[in-house]
Amino acid sequence: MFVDYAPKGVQFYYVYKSLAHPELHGYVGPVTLEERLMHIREAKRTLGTKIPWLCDNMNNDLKHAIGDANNSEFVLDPEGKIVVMRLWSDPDKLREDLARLVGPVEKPTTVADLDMKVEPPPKTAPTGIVPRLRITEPMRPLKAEPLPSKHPFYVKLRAEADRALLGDGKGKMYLGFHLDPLYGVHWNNRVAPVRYEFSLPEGIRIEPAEGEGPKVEQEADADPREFLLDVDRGDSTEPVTVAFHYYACDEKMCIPVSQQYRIRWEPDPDGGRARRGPPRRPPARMIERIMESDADGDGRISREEAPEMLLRRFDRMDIDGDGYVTRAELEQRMRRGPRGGPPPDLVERIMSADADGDGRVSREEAPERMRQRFDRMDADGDGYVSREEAGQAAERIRRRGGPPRP
Amino acid sequence: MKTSAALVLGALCIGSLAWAQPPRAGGPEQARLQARFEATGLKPGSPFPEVRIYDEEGKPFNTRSLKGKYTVIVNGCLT
Repeated sequence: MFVDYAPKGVQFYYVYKSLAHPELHGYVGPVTLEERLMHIREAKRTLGTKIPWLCDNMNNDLKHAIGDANNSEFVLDPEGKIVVMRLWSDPDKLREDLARLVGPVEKPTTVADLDMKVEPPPKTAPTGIVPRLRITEPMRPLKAEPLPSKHPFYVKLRAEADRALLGDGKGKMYLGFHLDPLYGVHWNNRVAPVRYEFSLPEGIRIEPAEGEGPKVEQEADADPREFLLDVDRGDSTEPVTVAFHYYACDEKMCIPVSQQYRIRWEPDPDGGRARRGPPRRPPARMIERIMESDADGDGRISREEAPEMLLRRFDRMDIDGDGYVTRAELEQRMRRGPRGGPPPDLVERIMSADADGDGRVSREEAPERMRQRFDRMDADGDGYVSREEAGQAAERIRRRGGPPRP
Repeated sequence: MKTSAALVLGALCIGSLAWAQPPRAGGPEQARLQARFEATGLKPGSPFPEVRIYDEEGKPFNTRSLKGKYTVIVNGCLT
């Protein structure tokens, strides 16, 4: 649409707003304007789009002014008045709007025509090493303000509270320390783990008020360090301050960093929603919608039949690379563990090569495709791929967006 | 295939195909979002809200300047 209508004098903008789904693909909410601009550069890189972006301010004033919708769209006339407003962006309808307002396009450009260079998220250290917290209770993000620091926030804090804590003042608080992938750092497990400590006003109890991350055998990883705390704040609405200490490490540096957040006992309406709990079922309604594109009724979708939204990811969704996307492939691809992580069935597929049942896959047991990358999967070089190493490999495959070919 | 580049954000900004669907029509989530959307008081014919934001280089940008041409604004994020 941009290609078709920009030459006709229509200006297009994407507006960057606060993250709707923090932690998806490892991304975490930026805490400064500069970090939001980094996210825009990252979005342009990963989406391959040339459409200009605008960036909401750190108070999220634009998001609030236009109704907090995550994917809304507006068409303005040359006087700056709203002609069309839509809760959820709908490209088909938008094209109809522009055809009506500006004029039709003889041969509309499709995404496939654009040859957009879509890049994967940044590579990080392995994940799937430190188990994620399984929290089934609904939690809401709390307002958490980073206090001034001479360092970037290589690690971002996410604080959430359950309903009881927000209501009666006594309940559970989630505390998660998440590496920001845009800084390219990892947890160096050869140095001291992340440590936190609360400064508590009178009348507020948090247990434990101090804690540290687990000891991890793997030299480096990028899993969040998570804690579930008991909080009794009574009637107090006083904010609490948490200090945390960690080493920010990449290939060239490993520096000690101490930073603080002030946490308020108020839900953050701009905090987005992180997925947690048991793995979600694949979204059946969406799969049905995609399968409606199966024009010849052979139970699979060819590249020619694929709708645009599928076409852009066709190679990724076509897991076995046979040139068709089946319902089973859609279900497998669209399944995700809690808060990201490798699809559990992919790990199982790798481990299914364990013929002698010793809980690991030897080079001899590995199928041909897996054998080609065996040395990389065998991280500790002991000649076997363990379940943990299979998890790391699955996560790498997921991040790369490539097909799981164990 | 009628869709075009604007779909890229609508579907991809939210990170994965599984997230790319709007709330179920007629469902409670859709109703909640719609109510908040309408509570802004904005409607066709209203001026777009005037807010001081930034361009992608970090330079101040006032939405008041969105005049002189038809303008398409799509909201999104990285995830």
